[in-house]
Amino acid sequence: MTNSHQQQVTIHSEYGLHTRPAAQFVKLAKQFTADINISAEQQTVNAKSLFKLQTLGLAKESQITISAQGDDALKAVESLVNFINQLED
Amino acid sequence: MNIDGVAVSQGIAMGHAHLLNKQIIKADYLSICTDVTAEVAIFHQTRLKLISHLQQLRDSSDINDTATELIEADILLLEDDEFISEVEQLISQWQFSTTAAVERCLRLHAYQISQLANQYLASRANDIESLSQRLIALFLNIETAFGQQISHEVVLFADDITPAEFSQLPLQHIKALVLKSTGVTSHTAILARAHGIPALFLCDYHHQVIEAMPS
Repeated sequence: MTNSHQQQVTIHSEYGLHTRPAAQFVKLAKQFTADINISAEQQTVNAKSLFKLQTLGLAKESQITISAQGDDALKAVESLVNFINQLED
Repeated sequence: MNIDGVAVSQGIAMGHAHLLNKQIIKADYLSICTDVTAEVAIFHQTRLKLISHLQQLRDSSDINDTATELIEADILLLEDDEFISEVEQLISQWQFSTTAAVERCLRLHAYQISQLANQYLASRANDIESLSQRLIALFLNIETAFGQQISHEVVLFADDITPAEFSQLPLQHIKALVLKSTGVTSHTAILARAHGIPALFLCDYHHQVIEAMPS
């Protein structure tokens, strides 16, 4: 059975997931083998793609769902949610 | 002569006015790709060449953490499977030349970003346009060393300067920046502040006036 996990999180940082934190987010996502998606406002994109992530327009107070499928899905989602919660600017 | 604008990086500076005219590099939309494998191979060679240039720039000692992170973002985009797949598709299915495929793909991407509701995020479309221009310039073997002709202290006037272009400037000669566009929260504003270069953005001036000044 495929291991899958997902969690919702709200972005609280002033400038949202702009270029620099988005790049850090993608680099973190790439450390996991699981397939990871990020959804916001009925759009879902590959969390390992900065190219796609930029098109979501994730600003302050955006609610996103991070979902992962694969062996390290739980750890991937926990790490990425933790990253979003710790964003400062 | 007075020029008003928004002071995004404070300070007082003096220098000769120098107007930076950007070269517009055009993609080839007329040629039809007849050898898909060769065209795709050229795309990858050039993409990897730009990544290598950016890695060298990132690893050079005279740039700060913010600039490093922005260069990292450009590298991530050039390595992005979704970007690569879209360009390859334009070449293989629609027989676009490499330059046309890159420009079409990145221009559409920049347009999508420019339409975002959040202005701060939408203003990043300029960074994507700049990446497209640099990639196409490399395909066409056009030298884009930015502002390298500046050899004495200047106050630099330009329509806009992206973070990537800022990183190529001979900063030791740039006493101040005066730009027509770009907002207070732009990456270029952040870089100007980080380097202690006074900067005035959103200025309305005529090119002819700056060109007429003694240099």
